[in-house]
Amino acid sequence: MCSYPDRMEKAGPLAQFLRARRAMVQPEAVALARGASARRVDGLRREEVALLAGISTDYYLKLEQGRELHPSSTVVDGIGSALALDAPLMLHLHRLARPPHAPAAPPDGTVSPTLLGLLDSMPSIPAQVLNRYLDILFVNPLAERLSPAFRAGGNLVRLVYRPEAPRDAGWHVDARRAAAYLRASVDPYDDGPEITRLLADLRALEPEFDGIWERHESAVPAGAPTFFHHPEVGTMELRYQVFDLPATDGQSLGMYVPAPGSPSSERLQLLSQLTHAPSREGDRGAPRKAGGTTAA
Amino acid sequence: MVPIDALLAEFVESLPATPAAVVDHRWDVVASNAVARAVSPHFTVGRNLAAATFLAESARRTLPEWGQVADRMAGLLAQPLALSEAAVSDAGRLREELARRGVELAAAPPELPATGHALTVTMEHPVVGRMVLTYELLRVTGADQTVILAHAERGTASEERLLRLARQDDPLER
Repeated sequence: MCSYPDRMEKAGPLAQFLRARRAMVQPEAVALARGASARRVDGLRREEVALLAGISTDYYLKLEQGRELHPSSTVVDGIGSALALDAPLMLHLHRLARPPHAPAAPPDGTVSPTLLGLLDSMPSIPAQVLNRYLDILFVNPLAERLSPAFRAGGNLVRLVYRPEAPRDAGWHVDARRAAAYLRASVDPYDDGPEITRLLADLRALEPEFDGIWERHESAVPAGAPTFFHHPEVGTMELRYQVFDLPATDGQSLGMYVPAPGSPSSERLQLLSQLTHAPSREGDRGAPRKAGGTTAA
Repeated sequence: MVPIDALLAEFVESLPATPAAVVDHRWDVVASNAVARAVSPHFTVGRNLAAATFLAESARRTLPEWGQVADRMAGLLAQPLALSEAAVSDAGRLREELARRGVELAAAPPELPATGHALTVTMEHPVVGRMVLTYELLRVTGADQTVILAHAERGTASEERLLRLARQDDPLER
């Protein structure tokens, strides 16, 4: 069950996005004075968005009510700048304004054998293959060693919202980033059973999830720094490199890459040697589940 | 050329034994690593891979199955991986330009095989000899750029030859 009102639900993804983001704009961000009365709170009025976007208030109202679904690219650019959207959110708004694709078949979870061959040839980079719901389809041995959380069958967003993860300041950053990543990855018009179940799970895991999700943030965390506290080699700062895999049903390849020549790079190299060294008796090279390894 | 993300360029350049290049939606090379340039000088920044495929004499000389590679490139020009308006119109312009330079592109390119966008190519390398490399095309999210990563099958002579190339100093760098 969704906790927000049905009226919002029925308005469609574009209308929901516009309402949510309009309420979040700081008037100063779009060069509007708050006015001498100082009674003004955050958020723009509909007529202000329309004015800034160069469209009629009536037309903007239709968009927010879901009576107009596919504004032109120029109108979208105008609204995006009126709402002070950054580049990833602008991209998201364009996606929302395009007619939805035919409903996609549920992902079958098969990873291309040639891609697996490529990853096999790059054993010193932790890598994972995800589907569009950020379910983990494949993890290479170094990524498994990097974090016990990285396992095929898991889900990257569920990982962040798992109850064991301490809710510290760092978690709040990760939590918003993970929700934005999911928004960017999944088709905004997808209301099939996979995404419905995932959102329900996340709401059950974390009461704050709904509030975070309803911010309508959308961004792929390309280049985002991620910290791994590893019991064998210490703390590493790795950056997330992510690529879409064309001609798949929305799969992507994510890799955790150190800055060349950094201490993290040396530690990762050591971990790679530990992972790929011929296993000795009693030490099968399996990752230790106990200990403080956490995926940030 | 479209600017490339600094971290992406750094990543591509840091791969020691994986030929890697980034192309923009016009198939201009915007970044590459030493081992890619050792495999083929066409992976040098500023070169155009579509023009190189169809027009470079070296492409026909070193690729025994050149026709397959050319067919795939024709397919990628007809149906670009990037679907932005700029990407689609630039691909059209590139097709026209190639046609002016005498390249005959089939009106209807062959269907993409079930293996997706990976392409296994045999090449006669002037230094290390015959190598079979599989090229994987990955899309850079949010940018009209494609990353090309190649590998040789594990345990093959191609893998050994690719490693030999990787160990050599990049002849293009001083």
